[in-house]
Amino acid sequence: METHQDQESIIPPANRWIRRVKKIKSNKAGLLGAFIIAGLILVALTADLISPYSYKEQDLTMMNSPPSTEHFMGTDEFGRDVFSRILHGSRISVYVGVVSVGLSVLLGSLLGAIAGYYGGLLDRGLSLITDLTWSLPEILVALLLVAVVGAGVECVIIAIALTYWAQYARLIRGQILMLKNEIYVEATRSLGATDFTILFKHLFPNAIAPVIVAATIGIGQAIVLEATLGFLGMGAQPPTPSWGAMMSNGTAYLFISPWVIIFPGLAMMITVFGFNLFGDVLVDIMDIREDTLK
Amino acid sequence: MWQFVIRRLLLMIPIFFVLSVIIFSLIHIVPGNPIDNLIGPGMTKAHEQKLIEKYHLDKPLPVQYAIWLANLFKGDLGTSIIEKRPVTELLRHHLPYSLSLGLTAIALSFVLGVSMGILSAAAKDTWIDHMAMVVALFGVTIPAFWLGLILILIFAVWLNLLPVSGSGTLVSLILPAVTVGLGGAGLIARITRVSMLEVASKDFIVMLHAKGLGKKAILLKHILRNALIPVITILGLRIGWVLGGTVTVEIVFARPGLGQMLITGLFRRDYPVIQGSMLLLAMGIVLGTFLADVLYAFTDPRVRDQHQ
Amino acid sequence: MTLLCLENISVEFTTRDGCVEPLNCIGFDLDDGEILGLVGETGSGKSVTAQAIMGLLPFLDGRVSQGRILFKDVDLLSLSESEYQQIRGNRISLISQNPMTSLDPVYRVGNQIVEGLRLHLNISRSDAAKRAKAVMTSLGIANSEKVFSQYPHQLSGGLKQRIVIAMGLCADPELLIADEPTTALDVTVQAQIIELFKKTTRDRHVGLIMITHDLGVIAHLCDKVVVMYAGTVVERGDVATVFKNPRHPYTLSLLGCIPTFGMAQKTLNAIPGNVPSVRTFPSGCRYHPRCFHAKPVCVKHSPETIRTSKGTLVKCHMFSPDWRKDSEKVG
Ligand SMILES: Nc1ncnc2c1ncn2[C@@H]1O[C@H](COP(=O)(O)OP(=O)(O)OP(=O)(O)O)[C@@H](O)[C@H]1O
Ligand SMILES: [Mg+2]
Repeated sequence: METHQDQESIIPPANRWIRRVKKIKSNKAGLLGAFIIAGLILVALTADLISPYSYKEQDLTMMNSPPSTEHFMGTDEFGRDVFSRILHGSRISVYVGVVSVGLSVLLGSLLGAIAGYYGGLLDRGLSLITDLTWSLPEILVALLLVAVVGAGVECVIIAIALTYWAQYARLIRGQILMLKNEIYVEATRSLGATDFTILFKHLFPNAIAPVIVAATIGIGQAIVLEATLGFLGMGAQPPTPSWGAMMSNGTAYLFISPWVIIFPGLAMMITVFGFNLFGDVLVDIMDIREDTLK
Repeated sequence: MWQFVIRRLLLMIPIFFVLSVIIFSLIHIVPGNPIDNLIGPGMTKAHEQKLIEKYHLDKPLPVQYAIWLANLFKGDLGTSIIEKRPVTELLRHHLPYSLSLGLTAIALSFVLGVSMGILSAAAKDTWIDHMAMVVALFGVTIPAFWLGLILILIFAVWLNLLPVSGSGTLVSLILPAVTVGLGGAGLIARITRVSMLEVASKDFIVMLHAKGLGKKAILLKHILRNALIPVITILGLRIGWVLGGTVTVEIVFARPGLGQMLITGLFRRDYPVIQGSMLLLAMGIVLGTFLADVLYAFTDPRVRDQHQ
Repeated sequence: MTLLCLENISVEFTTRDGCVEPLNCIGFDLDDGEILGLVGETGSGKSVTAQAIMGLLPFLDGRVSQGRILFKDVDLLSLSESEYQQIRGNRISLISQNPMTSLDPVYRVGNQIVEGLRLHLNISRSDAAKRAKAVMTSLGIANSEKVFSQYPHQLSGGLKQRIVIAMGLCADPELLIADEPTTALDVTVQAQIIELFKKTTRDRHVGLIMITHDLGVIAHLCDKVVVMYAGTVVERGDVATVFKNPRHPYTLSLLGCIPTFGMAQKTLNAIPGNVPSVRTFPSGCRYHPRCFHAKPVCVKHSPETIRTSKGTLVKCHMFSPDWRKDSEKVG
């Protein structure tokens, strides 16, 4: 493993990435994951163009109608096309997933890097907070935060970002701690580099790989968390379609029109599955030891 | 060993304080006064003033916290603003439903997850392994509430086997426990598999073969025993994650547990209820983590010695 | 009667970056009650030979790719896994090279000895424990009662090594393979344990394969010696004969100075040149890059095994009738 790492660092970064892309191509599960993610993003971007119906167009003559040639995923209690609503709902999912995880990675890696690099009291305080948030269920923390900031998409994003950052802080802190003691940091320092350049130019790029993997899987989890909050009525507010809210409304009609619940759930499951597959493959590609991720 | 247990127990005190501060302060940082929710139409200023005094809302936050904490130790978590009943009484009513669900779910995820992990590791790289791991991945990724709804649909509606919801009987525990348990089982199955494969590659396994031990004995007696150590550690770390599922699942199955109490409280902005249920849930998880830690120390002789 | 006979054994391992062949066509044999010393530099394939005899290769992603291993005239390679289990740890037992990693960390060492015992002998737990403690005491473990119920991590390297030896001896096998069993022990204990090996095998008429770097031990303990180099057997025969009349250039340089038993120098003589690794075994005779006598034929062709006038077997071109014709020397 160590010699592996050494070879890895000799290869120039560009070639390293080419090699990684090649590795994805040769991995079927990873390719499937990549396809799912790409498909999801494409759908989110073009939902207006590819939806057969408008997401809010009500057709009260077609309430709760089962899947048919016209509405192949059926309609909901207002006669709205479930398929079109799922396509539009992907927007919220992608938006919340990417933005919330992006924010939490930003926050987490910044704090984690500083804590790992400087150590001391800051590090200890941070470790306590990260350990606590880590051991509490995400849903509890998110609920608590939603209780504070209120319901709605932006609030959900903030809640998820504040729930997730600890995990990335923990990861990057561990990496920085490991890298900090390597000789080349000493060498760079003796060349007159400042703490800032050492941390962000030399250590950070080398420490970020496991965070990228965790973030990939994290986006999937964030999408589920968003849907869960949406299901509890605390996510995007109507009429904006979101998968969680769709299923929440659907529960009342579970026995009459189960498709309203089944299809958004399937969409979500495929999405999360895609992010997980891709993340698992990234572990492999980036030569990350699995135990760093636990 | 007991020293370790005691030290670990003492560690729960600061954790408890941090948690209580977080839970208390977050709710009181909210812009706007919680009292606004209480003030109905036709309420007089005097009435309002009385309420403010009753809930100590006119005092500075640290004082409010101190009062809250002091009351907490007296076993008084305040009175529900909406239901006008003591929060402790509500908690006592809701706790058993969550406790039974949580414990059953954990037991289920452990048994199911470990069995799946063993199967997968024993049949590494065969279709059994791949199937088990796909199932495990689904278990991890499916949101609990959706799984709950689908299970209701299948078992209660289409097959008409189990009750849709309710809380009294043992049968009504099956579906919610399976719903929560599957997620945990997926997680545990994945860890068990990785951990078993890692142990299987150790030198001493070859020596067990050299002793003439059969594959099965090696797998179940030696590999599994060693592999369970990290499984327990991670279960301890992620016990909250498993139990987090109970909150939404209680909503889906209309089970009057702490999760439902919490969510209802959230909707009504009933702060004493939110605080009380959050605190109890969080303490439950901290306690679970503690138990897993102790169990871990007991299963691994190396760790046991470190603490002696 | 012949106890064990290896005929033309080659071994392959499948690794992440392709196949390796750490053993190429090796052979030797051993009679009942005889002690055979297996000697060679690190990486020459001694432990792999032991693994092959024990049938452990399948658990290490390896296999015997050719040859036969006869144990009392039964070809071990033709046995099913369950038949092999009846032999392992029972009729043939192995003392592993790495006592530090050979014990299960979560079980008490005593139970690990007892586990093996009860697997093959029909005895009660308490009898097995009694027997285990007796063997432990005979190995110089003073407080065997206490050590019995300790965990591996609580024991020193020397104690662990003795536990591993006890596991091998307890089974009362017909053939014992001891892979560098005394490396973690200090000199006096080493000598004591070597004596114990001698006594046990002679008394019970047990065959013993002693893998060691210590030529002194071989001279003192063994009847036969097999010298291995880079996955081949370069010379074998009676210890006395081989040590008095070494023929292979490798054996010669090994014996450049034979340390006497118990002397401070315990390792093989340093021979100039590098030890070849499995991936880069040289062509022809594998010893040729380090051999003072090497000629072109040594680079091109692998030598035959030839019987010398003294009755030992040597794998070297120098002893083929064609040697003198081919007079040109390599570099
Ligand atoms: N499981 C394995 N997979 C691949 N290669 C192996 C394996 N086990 C051993 N080898 C290789 O086979 C060669 C012979 O190894 P072996 O352990 O038999 O050497 P040895 O003679 O016992 O050396 P030492 O004196 O150091 O114990 C080595 O080059 C080693 O790398
Ligand atoms: Mg060896």
